[in-house]
Amino acid sequence: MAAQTPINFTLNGTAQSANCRADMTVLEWLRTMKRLTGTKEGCAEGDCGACSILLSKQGDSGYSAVNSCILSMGQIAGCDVLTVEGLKSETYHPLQVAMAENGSSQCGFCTPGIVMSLAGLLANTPEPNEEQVHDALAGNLCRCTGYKPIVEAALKIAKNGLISLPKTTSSETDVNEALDSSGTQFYRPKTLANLFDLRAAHPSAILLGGGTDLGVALAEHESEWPEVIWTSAVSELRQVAENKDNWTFGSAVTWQEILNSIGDTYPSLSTLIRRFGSTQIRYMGTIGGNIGTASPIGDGPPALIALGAKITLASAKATREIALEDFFLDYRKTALSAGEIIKSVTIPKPVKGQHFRVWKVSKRYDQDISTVCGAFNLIVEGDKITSARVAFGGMAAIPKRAQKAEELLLKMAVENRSETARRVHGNDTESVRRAYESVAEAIRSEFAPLTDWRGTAAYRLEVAGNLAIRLGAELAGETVEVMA
Amino acid sequence: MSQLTGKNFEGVQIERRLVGKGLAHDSALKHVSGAAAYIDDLPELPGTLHAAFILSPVAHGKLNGVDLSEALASKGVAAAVLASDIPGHNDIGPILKHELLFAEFIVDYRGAIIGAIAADTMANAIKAAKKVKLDIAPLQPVLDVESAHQLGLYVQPPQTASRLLGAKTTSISKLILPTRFPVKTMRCWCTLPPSIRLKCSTMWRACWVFRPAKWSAKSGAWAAGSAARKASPPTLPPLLRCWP
Repeated sequence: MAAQTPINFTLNGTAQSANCRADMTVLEWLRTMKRLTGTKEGCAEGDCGACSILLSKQGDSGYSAVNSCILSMGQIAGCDVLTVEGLKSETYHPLQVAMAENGSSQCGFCTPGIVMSLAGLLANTPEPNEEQVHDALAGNLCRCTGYKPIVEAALKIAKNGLISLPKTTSSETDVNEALDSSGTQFYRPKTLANLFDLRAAHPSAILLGGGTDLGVALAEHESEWPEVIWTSAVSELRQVAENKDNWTFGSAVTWQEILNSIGDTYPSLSTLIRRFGSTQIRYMGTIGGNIGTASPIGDGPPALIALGAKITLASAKATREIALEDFFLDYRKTALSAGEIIKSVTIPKPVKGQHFRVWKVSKRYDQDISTVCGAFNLIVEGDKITSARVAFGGMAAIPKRAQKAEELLLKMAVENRSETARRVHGNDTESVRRAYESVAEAIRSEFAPLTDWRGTAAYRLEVAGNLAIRLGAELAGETVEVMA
Repeated sequence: MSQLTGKNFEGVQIERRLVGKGLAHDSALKHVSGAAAYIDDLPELPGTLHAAFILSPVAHGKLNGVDLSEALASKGVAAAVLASDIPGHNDIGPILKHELLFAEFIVDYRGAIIGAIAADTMANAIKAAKKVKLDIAPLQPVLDVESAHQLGLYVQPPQTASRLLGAKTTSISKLILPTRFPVKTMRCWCTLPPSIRLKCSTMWRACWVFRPAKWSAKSGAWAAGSAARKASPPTLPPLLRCWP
């Protein structure tokens, strides 16, 4: 093995040269090697946010909160890291004072993480409103104080405008393409060609994106990574392209970047993205990783399949584009052949008459794993449904289209299928409900979901069908107030 | 400030020193700056062992046996403890009794703590705890309060709250008290005999310390201890009806 390469980055304004395994979590390094114990370990799976730190990636000008428990040291080379200890310089940060004065802590364990999430918000968003404060806290669990005094403190100082954080230097640091740390080889290819060479030379290496899935096993001491190829430095995979019909996102583009690009084009999709990934997760988690991990309960795939997304697979020899639904073959089995990687995902922009809805049903509103995720994409021309795409997650071994339901939607009686349904039916939502009941039955007949601790098969079938009825109600202009 | 002044019960005007004033938590500034030290934040003494719990993979079952052999042979492992190693009562309920430290004979929820493995590092302890082989005969799980009530399975005995109304005692209601599920900073650290020092960080009664009777034994003796306990199980309080 080559000589050990230190991992260089900036911590709280000071240059660091860490000699450690590249697959050590940042949390562990902070707490054991630096004895910076203000950052806490709570759930060890990127859920509770007690481990939140601020990270500014290479080339980024601002900071975002991230979960240090599922972040590997190899991923922060060249980055700027700010921990709760670095937030307080000579005096306490105004947020720290406001929270202390407002009784925003009780046991205090989740507090440093909450402080970091809110500091990240206040550094990026001048005068956030209450909704933005709640969104910033979606990835931070508090189990004793309650959120009221925390949100109050944040809003109290939000009136003072932007609260800046120490300037970042991340764009200036150069990072080696390969980090040979004790026991782990962490490759950071910068070009696609380089990535293919590394894949050929190290066929057993883990392909790592944001690490929000793979990092969990690391945090729980369930795995070690002898060889890692990290995709987030590959320039071709980081590209965002847009034309009048589509967006094309490189596979290493993060969910936050996607959210920034799509804005409120598909409000339902934006809500879904905010729900399945906190600020911390969205800043790291990539669209390619979300698809490539091929989880049957991943939330990106059903929404993207319903939207008619295409996926581009590339190897050193060839590039091919396939429909996203054809990517998933069987449980955790994908259409990727040896040497192939996910290059990009193309998402169509909305067209006239399009109605897109995606609903995630889970036990907790934020950051939970779906029991069922259902996505519906209809195009209505005049009084006809000309296109219907329905896809579900959590209902089969793979994210899957509901073809019988789609066929039924296309055949539905005119008066029940148009965007003028509301005018036709007036307040007679009962007949709309009856019409969509048949779609619900079609969905229930074509899936055979599993029973697990998130829900029984019967519950999943009931819920999946009900989502079709909810679609009908919403298309008929009924406001459906459900917290899921 | 009007809310800070008032009259006492004798009608004398007084100035209140505490009532009506917002006071910061004593540790508030430490909390918000990460300076508050929890057990896990303290420097580790050389030779410190880390304990990981052996957890039940099933929601309800009869615990017939625990095979520690593979776990004890695992890297870095120093010792293991089970309910059978507890010299006294396996009950840590500080006020209300019948709260077991380690599951014994029965597991009654998924993740029930059956024992602990101590190793040189947390990672090694977790790995070893997962190597413990559990012989559990599954029983039907009871998943909600109503069905538990119908089956007569109580964590605590049903309690009757009553008050005196004149000369009559009127029963108001029956309460079924579910055990609380705290998500707190529960961890403790201790030095072993001859000088036991214990530090714990908890808002709940998660603190426990005892010295296993056969601390130096790595195998054999553990099984013997368990067998003896099984042959003559400790007398169980009759209220623990979820025990078969």
